Amino acid sequence: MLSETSQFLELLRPEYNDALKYCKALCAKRSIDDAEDVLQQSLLKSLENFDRLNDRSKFRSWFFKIITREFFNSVRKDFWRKFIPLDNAMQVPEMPEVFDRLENDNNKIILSRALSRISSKERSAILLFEIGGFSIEEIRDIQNEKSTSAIKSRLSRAREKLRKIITNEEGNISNKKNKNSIIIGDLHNETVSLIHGTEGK
Amino acid sequence: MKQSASSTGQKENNPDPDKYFDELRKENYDGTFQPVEIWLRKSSSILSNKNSERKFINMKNYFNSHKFRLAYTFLILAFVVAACNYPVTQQETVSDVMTWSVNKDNTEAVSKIHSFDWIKNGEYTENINGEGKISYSLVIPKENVDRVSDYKSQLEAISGINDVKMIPINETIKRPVYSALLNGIFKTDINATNMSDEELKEEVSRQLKNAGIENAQVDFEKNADGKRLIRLDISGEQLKKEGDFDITIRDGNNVSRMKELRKESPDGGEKFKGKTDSEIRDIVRKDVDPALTDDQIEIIRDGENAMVRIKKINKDNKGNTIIEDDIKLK
Repeated sequence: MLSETSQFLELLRPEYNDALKYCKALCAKRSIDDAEDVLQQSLLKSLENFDRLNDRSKFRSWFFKIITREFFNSVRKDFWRKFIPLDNAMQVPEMPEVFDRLENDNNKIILSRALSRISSKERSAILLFEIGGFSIEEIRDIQNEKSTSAIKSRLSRAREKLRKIITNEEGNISNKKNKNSIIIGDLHNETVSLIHGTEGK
Repeated sequence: MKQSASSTGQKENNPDPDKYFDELRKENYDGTFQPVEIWLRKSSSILSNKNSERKFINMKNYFNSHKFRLAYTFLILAFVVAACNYPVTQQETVSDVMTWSVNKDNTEAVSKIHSFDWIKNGEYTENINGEGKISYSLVIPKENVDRVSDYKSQLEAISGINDVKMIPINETIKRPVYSALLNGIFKTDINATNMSDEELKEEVSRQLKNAGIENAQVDFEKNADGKRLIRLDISGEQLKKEGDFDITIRDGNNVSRMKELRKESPDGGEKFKGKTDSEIRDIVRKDVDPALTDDQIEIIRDGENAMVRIKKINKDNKGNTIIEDDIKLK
């Protein structure tokens, strides 16, 4: 197991950075803690099943597939957790924190918001394409789909949705910047009108 | 070839999502790899323990959830094994004995009979009864059974031959003893491999007793090679006057064969009377096998009577050496 761990870590090192970015962006709709949970479970699962990976050259797609599956599992678990308590099977020490809790970059915030508003499958597909650099066929395999056309249309939909959402988000941010003082004035006017309205009654 | 998500169908007035993905691509978490590596190494030892525990739990759960199915399977398997091992007695034809008779004065027929290769090379006995007829009994091994009809027609073509009969020799599978007591032939084959001397002695005595031969003396000795030799002494009264006796004992690669053809001379034992050893040996060679050497023909004299003991070294059909082959002529 120890030599397997060393081999696993050796193969993980070059994929580590992309895997974390993928994992974080995948959990855009959720919290950073959830992203770390998904990452932790993915790392443990892949380490546990590493001996079953016969073709080590396919480590990257295999590892991203595990992350994707763990993400969808966590989404399903979140649903069922509302009704029944679910316990974690693996009793291992907590993984150290890897993600920053505070995000100040506007572009990252916009992207995160946009990603959180598309479906999980669309998010996974677009991130595998943009961050993971996987081909359509590889994404099909990772997402366990039968046809590449399904992935193509999924990517196309995801791009279109993202573009629209980002446009709105950019508009909202610029409006907020431009109307920062007006907002205060509006609040004042609204308060005055509310008071007048009350007196009239 | 991978296409950029932003390269297709993008409208000019729309923002470029690739710009935002670039921000994400620029993120670097390499600095966190080392603590994660340490954590993974710690976790791996726990996981290896958990794996074995999990396998045990999975197995336990499997047995618990399938206990009735497993019980049925086990019972059926046990029944099949027991049924397969249940001793059954089954008769199986291992060879046939062909019998016929001819008048002893019909020398032409007798010489024709002796001219057939399958008779010369076969295992047969010939007895002369009080009516002056020679009765033949030929053992036809299983592998030659398909030639029986051919043999029969050859015999029937000789004038003066009567009553050509076929009698099957059966053995039971439960107890691997096959014997044919027809015309006094007693034949048995014992596998003594892994049997102790005591066990083999019991087995031989038991089979002899089943064949009606009691008080047989079974002894063992070892030759120069350390191989076990079996000595079997049966008193003359125990055997039929003109009975044949053939025991083969397979002991590992050794095959010991004790065979006795008891022949009473038609002239009442006059055949060897007054004859020298050399003359007796010539008679034996003529009657039994011209290739026999002087050493192989032992002459035992009892007063005027003489008994001949023939020792032969043979090979069986599997190439095993048959270390002893006694034929006694009286």
